[in-house]
Amino acid sequence: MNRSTLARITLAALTALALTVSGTVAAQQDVPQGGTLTVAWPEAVNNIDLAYIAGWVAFGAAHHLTDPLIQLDAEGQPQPWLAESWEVSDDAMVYTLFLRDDVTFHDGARFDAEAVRANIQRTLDDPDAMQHARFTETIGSVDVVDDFTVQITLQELDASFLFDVLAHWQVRPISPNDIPNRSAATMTQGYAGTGPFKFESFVADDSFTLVKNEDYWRGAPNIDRVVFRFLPELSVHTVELLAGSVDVSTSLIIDDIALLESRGLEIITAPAVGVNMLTMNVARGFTAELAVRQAIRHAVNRQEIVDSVLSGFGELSRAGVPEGTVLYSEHVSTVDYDPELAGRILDEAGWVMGADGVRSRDGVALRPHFLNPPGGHAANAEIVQEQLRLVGIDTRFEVAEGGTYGPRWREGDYELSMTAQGGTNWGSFIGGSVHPDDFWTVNQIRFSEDPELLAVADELREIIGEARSTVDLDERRETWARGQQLFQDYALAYWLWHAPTVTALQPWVQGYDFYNRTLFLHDAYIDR
Amino acid sequence: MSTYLIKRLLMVFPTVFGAVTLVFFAIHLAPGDPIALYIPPDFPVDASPERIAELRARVGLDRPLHVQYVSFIAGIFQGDLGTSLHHRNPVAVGLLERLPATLELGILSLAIAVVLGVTVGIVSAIRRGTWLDNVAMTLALFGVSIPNFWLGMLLMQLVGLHWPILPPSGFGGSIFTAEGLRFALLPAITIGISGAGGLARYTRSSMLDVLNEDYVRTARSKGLSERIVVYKHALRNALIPIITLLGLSFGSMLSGAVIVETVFGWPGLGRYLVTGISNRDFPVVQGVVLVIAVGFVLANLITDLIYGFVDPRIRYE
Amino acid sequence: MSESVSPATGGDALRQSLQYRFWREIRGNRMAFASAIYLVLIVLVAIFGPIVYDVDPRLQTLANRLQPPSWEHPFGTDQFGRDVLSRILHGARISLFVGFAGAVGGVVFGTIIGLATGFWAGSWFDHLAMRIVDVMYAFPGILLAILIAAVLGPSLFNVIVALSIWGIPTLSRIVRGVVLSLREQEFIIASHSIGAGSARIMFRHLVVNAVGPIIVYATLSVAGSILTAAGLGFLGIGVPPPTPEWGAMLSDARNAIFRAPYLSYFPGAAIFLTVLAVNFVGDALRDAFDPRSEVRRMT
Repeated sequence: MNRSTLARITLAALTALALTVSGTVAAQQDVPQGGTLTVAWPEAVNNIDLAYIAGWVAFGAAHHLTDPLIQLDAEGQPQPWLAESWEVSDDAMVYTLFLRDDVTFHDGARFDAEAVRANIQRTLDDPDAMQHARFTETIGSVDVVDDFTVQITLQELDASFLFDVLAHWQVRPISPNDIPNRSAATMTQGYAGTGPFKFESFVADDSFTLVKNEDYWRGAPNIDRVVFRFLPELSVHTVELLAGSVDVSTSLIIDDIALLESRGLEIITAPAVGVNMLTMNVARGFTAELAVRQAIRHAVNRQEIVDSVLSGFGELSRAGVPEGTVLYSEHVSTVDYDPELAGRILDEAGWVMGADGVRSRDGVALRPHFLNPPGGHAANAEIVQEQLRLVGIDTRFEVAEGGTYGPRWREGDYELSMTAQGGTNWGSFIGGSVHPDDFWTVNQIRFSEDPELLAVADELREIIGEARSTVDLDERRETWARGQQLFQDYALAYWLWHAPTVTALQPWVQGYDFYNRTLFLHDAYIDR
Repeated sequence: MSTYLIKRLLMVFPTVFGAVTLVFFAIHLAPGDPIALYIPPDFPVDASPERIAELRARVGLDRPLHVQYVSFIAGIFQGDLGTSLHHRNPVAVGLLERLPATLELGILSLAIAVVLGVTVGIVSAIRRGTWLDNVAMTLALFGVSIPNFWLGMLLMQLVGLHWPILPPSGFGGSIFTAEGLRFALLPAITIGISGAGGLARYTRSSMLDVLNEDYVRTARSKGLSERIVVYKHALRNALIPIITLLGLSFGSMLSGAVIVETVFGWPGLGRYLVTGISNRDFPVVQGVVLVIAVGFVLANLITDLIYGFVDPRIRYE
Repeated sequence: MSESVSPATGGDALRQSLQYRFWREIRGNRMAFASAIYLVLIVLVAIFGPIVYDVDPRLQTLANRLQPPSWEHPFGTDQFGRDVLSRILHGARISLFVGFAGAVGGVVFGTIIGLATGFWAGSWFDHLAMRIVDVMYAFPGILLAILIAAVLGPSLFNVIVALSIWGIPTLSRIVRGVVLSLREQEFIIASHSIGAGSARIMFRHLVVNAVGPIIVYATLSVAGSILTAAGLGFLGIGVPPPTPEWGAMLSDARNAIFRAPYLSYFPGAAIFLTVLAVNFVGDALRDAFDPRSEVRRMT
């Protein structure tokens, strides 16, 4: 296949992609041009250089400066982007990327194979890079084959390399001229990427402003300027949207959505990689007992929470992965709300209901420690607390302050905890989620003293190793499903629901794309 | 007097040193680990124990606490306040970026508090015992009795949304520009109202005291008009103790800013501190406390000195 | 700082005169009188309210969430469908306790430090304690409480500890000032000369003389404590859920400011009115104990 055919096919694929994911794309030429789009952002961004530690908050604002080599679409499928096609060797150890030849960086430098190599090399060389160790362990060498072909040879088989590394925002290329000057200390300073918008200014704790890139390879954006305003108080987002001084917010108070809709704002929802879960410490206290964990899962009425507090914005989770995504398997069992069954399980395990409504056994009251992160999840946790109280489990409820939650959760200073996990793609997400040795391991299984659970942990490790080396997607899905099923059988956690990202836009904002928790403003325009 | 001044100035150092030391150990010994910053809880990143140890070493948190303390104190004397663990840039830079916003908000709040407070106080004192006095003093107490984040939100709803006079929130640059001033007014009014309450009450009692002094009575008995008596004689003398209150007011407004900055999205030291605390960003918390402590102690010192200067009855030991 | 000194008379006579002045002040000041009655009422509400209005403040009815006030729920329901009136009534116990305990903690420790440093002024203890107080003074307003609450972690007890420590520096300075000015006065010197012990001198004379400023400050710091607790709630380091503390309720209500504005009005008004009443009474007390206000009354 010669290059021009490939390019045409790619273009067709791109168009198809744009149509499927947005449905709101308008013809580029006859839309209004110009204007400033103001986006209310829920936290102050501390980083716009995606090679360094960056979460969704930073990525969502800064991604407009750059382009991915490979784009993951709403279903999690890889799509051509800066790499217009790629080849994977039969042993899945060599990845060859064929790059576009019509892309320049904001500073005029040419985007080519050398630029890709320099950017990947940068993340290998800089110890502050986000996924530093993962990359250095996996990548053997990066070689420039010709001007627009780059070849990456692995030193260790990694079946999800395409998803976890090549599609990762950490390797979104920036101009090679900038690379020598970049470090973690400059991560809020501007640089030249290839993206639809260029850096204009960054004011700490206040705003991040981008201007349109007239020479963008997919065509110049319609909007002149995008301003991300950092507003930590979510009620202020509602005020600003109603006042018309903000055009977009991706962080809404769910109870305000109906009001915003009634005032003419457009509400769009999009699935996000991630799941809200009730984690249970299997290595400590009351939750070390299987019957207690099972009873807790049957006692939690997640549908009621979704219907009330979440106003229906949530899809009950089968096993951590939503239906319709690449890793969803129907072969994993699901858990039903059944408080009577919960009561029977506890009765059989000897937990007898007391006169005060709290169950106890051998004089010990069933009061597990319920540690929660600050913010929105704590509100849902308050409901779970009450639901558990109704079956006789009286949790000791605690909301951890700010930065203390993470370390305490990691160290297992909890028996129950309400949390949300997310990721860039479902493969790495579910991998991290069921991993017994991961930093954010959800259930402390590796610290259990129960030989049966330790055997389960070993089995999980095996499954993860197998999944990492299974290149075939269907096969990999069923491998993960075996891991998820172990979670269900041993009640290692309770996957509750998948919460979509809900965004409100003023009626005059048109043409945006929104998926994977990410707002794409390249095609957006303002039509007052 | 000059020995006293030198003595007081020298006392600034141990006080600030003590404050910084207190904060250093309190926040380091508190539960919570700043390395969690690099491992977002909702996000899969490489987080093996080796990687955690490496990150810890890179930011110097692997050293014994006393070593970290000594290097922190030594750094202060070299103008190095350390590097933010969250923002990754020097804390001195972060402070300088945000100090103007907080100072300008403070100045505007203080101006609002003074204009409101002193006016209400004077009116109250002149019309003492009347319904006007009662209403004014009740309003003054309103200002100091309402939680300031709630007041801010109510004002934002009323003046920002219901009657869209001012932008509901945000930062428009320096308050010495029209645009900047528009954005600063709501947070400044929120902070200023509570300051005005205290000032109004203080002004009233200060005015009443002065109006009873001999020279004011003499002025009256000489047949000078009430207006001249009040504004030329009484007010000038009553204002002196009020001025001394300003230094202290500035400090309390600075602390009001901690909450109000978060409500209005104002990019100042208050937000830097609040996010610093919840992220366990040790150098940031230490740096902000250092700046606030120095500012506040100096304000207190100046207040004391002015007080002594205008009131010779105070003697310095 | 107030350096006011009450005329030194004997203990009982002084106590009588204080009481007299206090009542004269309260009766003469309609707002303070109304405030005192309000405070008595709110204490009664805290004690008997939850008994009379017997609704579980923790009971959630998610189907009934964010309901406006009605016969069934006079103050409406919150984001979990809990009865707001019940939470306000139970919250009165918590918030008054937090305000009172926070103030008392500050007063007790502040008074002890103030008395000791004033009595042994110039000693190493005085220097050390006053330097520590100076250090605490270097944190303006709510800042010290924020730092302490953040370091200790959010809990009802820790909020009270934070508020107590927050009150220490001001009070210890006030008391020390009073003690210093009294020390040189004749009746203290006289007590020394007739061989009275230190403790006796301190508690018979100094406490009685310092009691005016202490009561004034303590009253005002009840108001300050309730407000500061609300501020801590806003920052997420206040009294944790599901405890129905007013500040925490107000702080939670800010996410329903559009959907259910009444959710913030009730705890907001409860805090505001209580703090206002305490401030009015505190002001009246200040006038009663401040001899300079005598001048005012004579005009």
